Amino acid sequence: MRSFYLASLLLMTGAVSAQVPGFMGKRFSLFVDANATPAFFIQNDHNQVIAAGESARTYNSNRLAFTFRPQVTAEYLVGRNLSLGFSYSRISVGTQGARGASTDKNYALDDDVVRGKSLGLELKFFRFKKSASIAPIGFYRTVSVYLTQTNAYDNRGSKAKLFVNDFVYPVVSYGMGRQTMIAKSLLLKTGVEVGWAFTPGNWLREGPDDWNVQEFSGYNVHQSLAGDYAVTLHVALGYTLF
Amino acid sequence: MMRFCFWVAFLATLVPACGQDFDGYKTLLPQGPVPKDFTERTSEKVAAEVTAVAGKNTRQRNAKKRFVMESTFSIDDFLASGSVLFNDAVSVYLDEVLKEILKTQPDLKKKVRVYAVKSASVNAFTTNSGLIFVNLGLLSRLDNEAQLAFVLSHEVVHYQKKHVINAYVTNIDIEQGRGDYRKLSVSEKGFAKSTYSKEKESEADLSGAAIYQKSDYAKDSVENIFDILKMADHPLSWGAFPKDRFESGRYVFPDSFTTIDVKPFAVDEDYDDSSSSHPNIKKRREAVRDKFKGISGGVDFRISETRFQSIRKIARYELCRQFLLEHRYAESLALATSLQGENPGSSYLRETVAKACYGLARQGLKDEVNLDEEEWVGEAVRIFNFVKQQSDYELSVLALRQLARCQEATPNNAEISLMTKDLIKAFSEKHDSLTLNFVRLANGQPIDHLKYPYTQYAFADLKNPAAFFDVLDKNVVPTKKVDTRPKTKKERKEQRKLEAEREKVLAKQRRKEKRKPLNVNKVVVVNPLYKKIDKRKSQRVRHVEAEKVLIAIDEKINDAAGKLGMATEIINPNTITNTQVSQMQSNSVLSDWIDEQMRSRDKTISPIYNEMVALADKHKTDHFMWMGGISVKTKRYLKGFYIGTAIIVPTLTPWCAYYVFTADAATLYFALVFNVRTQELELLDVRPMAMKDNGALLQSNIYYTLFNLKN
Repeated sequence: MRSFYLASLLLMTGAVSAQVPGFMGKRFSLFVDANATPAFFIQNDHNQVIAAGESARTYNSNRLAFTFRPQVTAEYLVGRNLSLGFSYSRISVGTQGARGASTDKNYALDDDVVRGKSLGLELKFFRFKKSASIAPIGFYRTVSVYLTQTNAYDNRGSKAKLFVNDFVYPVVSYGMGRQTMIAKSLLLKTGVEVGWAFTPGNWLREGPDDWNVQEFSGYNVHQSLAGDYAVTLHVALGYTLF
Repeated sequence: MMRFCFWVAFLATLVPACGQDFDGYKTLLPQGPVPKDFTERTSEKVAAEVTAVAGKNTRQRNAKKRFVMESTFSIDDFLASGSVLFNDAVSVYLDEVLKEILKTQPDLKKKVRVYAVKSASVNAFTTNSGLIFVNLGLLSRLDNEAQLAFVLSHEVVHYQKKHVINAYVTNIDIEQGRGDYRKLSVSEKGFAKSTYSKEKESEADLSGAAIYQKSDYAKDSVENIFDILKMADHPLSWGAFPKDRFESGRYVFPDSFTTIDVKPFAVDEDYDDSSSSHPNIKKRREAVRDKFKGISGGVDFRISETRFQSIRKIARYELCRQFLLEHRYAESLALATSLQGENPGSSYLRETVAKACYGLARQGLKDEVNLDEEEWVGEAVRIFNFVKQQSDYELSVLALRQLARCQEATPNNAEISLMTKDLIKAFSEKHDSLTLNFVRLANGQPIDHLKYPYTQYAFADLKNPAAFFDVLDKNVVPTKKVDTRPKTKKERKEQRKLEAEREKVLAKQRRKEKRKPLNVNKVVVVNPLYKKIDKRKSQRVRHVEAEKVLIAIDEKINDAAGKLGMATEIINPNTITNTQVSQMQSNSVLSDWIDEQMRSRDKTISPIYNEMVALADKHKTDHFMWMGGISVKTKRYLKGFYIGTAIIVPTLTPWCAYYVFTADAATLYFALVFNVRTQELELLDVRPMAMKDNGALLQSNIYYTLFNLKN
């Protein structure tokens, strides 16, 4: 069996070594991505204008607000126009709450924070015919799968999980953008990614009045997670290592 | 022993001037240390010249600065083109004549430099920085040294009076309707430009005559220079056309080929010059005649008559090659046959004639022999008639015969051998049963029913006809078969199916061949090119920025090649040093070759194939790469749309800001790699990229090209 794995590994190495120029022969890149998400769907404390005191909260959102999902991605060019990436990201996003909605439930005005992590697998197709430059430089499209693991917390600093079990949901996404090399081996990635988190969709159909406190908190997690992955703007710095 | 050493040293000094062997003539190449004009950075030249710019007002000074920038870069491109010679026999001689006419003005002499240019055009020109270029096309037509001295005097005045830069500023004034040129119509503007240019040319003639008068050159030789200008547009040849030189035994052309009325040549000197840059010949001749009225004396040759004759001969021999490279085969034939009158045994001329016939035959087989009847005047009209009267079949036979004779004289000549095989192939593709159309022995029986009966004897009296016919038989390809497609619907369907399958197999083969690794271990990069254009700026062509890229490109190529374990040599005129004359020599031949290749629509054998093979041996590789890039920045439109979008959807502000504050950019990278021995374009790498250029992008593309060469 060990021989089989070794042979497979050698075969795979041989296959990915063939006809792949990379940048000056370098095919492995490491990216640090800010993953800015417009805070359309996940307005919360971080981007609210608080006029005066708890009671005077208004639904006056800051439309320039972003949430960030820092991500590290390791990419390897396996073909002339194809790279395979593995990513790890930290999720930290507020919940929408029920601000602006008419409800008599006080807890609905209480924001939570959704925190967690995700692991991703990404296929990046460089569009040789469009941008015609040599990967890892050029225009690309990505298809990604993420597995998220989150929980709700009272605030950013809190270590006490609100739910006994973590929320584990898959996310699929499709992205496009381009990578330019701003200095030798230093890549700048800019692009946009749209994703769908496979969470229950109650928050789309129902409101706070239909939920008890636990449901409210849970569905807010779903909503925040879906919102966080719905539209992501990529601004990442990368380095081609070898 | 001392005396022997002295003579060796003395003869060695004469080599540049008289060392040319006209039997086996070798093309002129730059020699000695590379002059500063070629090695100095263009941006440094511009910086130095710009400080000396003076003008009436800021607008004029700015216009002049722009001119300095544009002209300096353009001239340096020309210096790097491989056409400009230095320290060669011709340039050395030109400099001596220039010294002679400026011997009373040594300060002025220090400022002007003269170079010969490998161009067939009858012209000489000057730059604002004091470079005088004299084309071999002009030199080859001069009668004596005194005429050359007058030409140089004329050009010196253009430099002294700053005609080029002033003409540029004036043309801008005319275009923009400033000062005296207000409210002019388009035609009036054209007329104003022409008038200004003619004034300056007249001034150069008259002031040049003043310089010339101070020299010891013959005062009555000058006027004849205008006769040379008169003939500038006509092929260079002299003497009667020797038809019999192409005949032997029973291979005799019909009389109609050369029997033609030769009308005396007459040119109207007083032509309408209202839109030309120079006054007409009559006006120039009369103005100069007046200037020299009552002045006589002087000699036609001050340096040496022998030197002049030798230099002119070199120019003429070089022109034979130049015409071949420019596919002006009839002109090459005319000049070479004229020169054969003086040197009938020259193998160079014999090969030039054969190559010219080969070129004409290849053009003839494609019905592309285009000769302008108006240009062929005097005795030269016989050559025109000789070529024009022959069908493609006859031209091909003539060419094969000339090639065969060359091959007999030099059996190892690869160039001639390849031309023979190539012509046989092209000839037999068009004409059926070729092998049966020729008498194979000197006393062989005539063949009946031939359209051109005299052609059957073309190869019978070769020294070794069997050797030629062996090549013919081996290289003949069957003519395309008559359409034998089946007639019924079912048969046609079946046939189409078969053809589609065949095409599939062929396509697969082609793909397989394409994928075949090139395994190139060494490549010579020739004269890399890079242009940057920013359409948003008034100075759109960003010369200085492009020069920086070109200076850094050597390192990028070497880095990429180093990663791939490839060896490279880079012939980059932007980084050349004064000891690298060998690179400039290679550049000269390579530029000639690539220009000729780009001119050819079909794959033909280059007239300088042997020179290229020698170059491949010198650089120890068959692979030569021409590469470069162009980057263009343009203004983005719809900025209002982006601003509006940012207001409506503030989240998109970063994206909108990027589009509002940056330019739209595109970059084109290209690389062509030729195997000069097979003359195949082995790699064509052209990539338009919808992104801004930078060092890394160029580096990445260079690496990819070399990667494809290596793998």
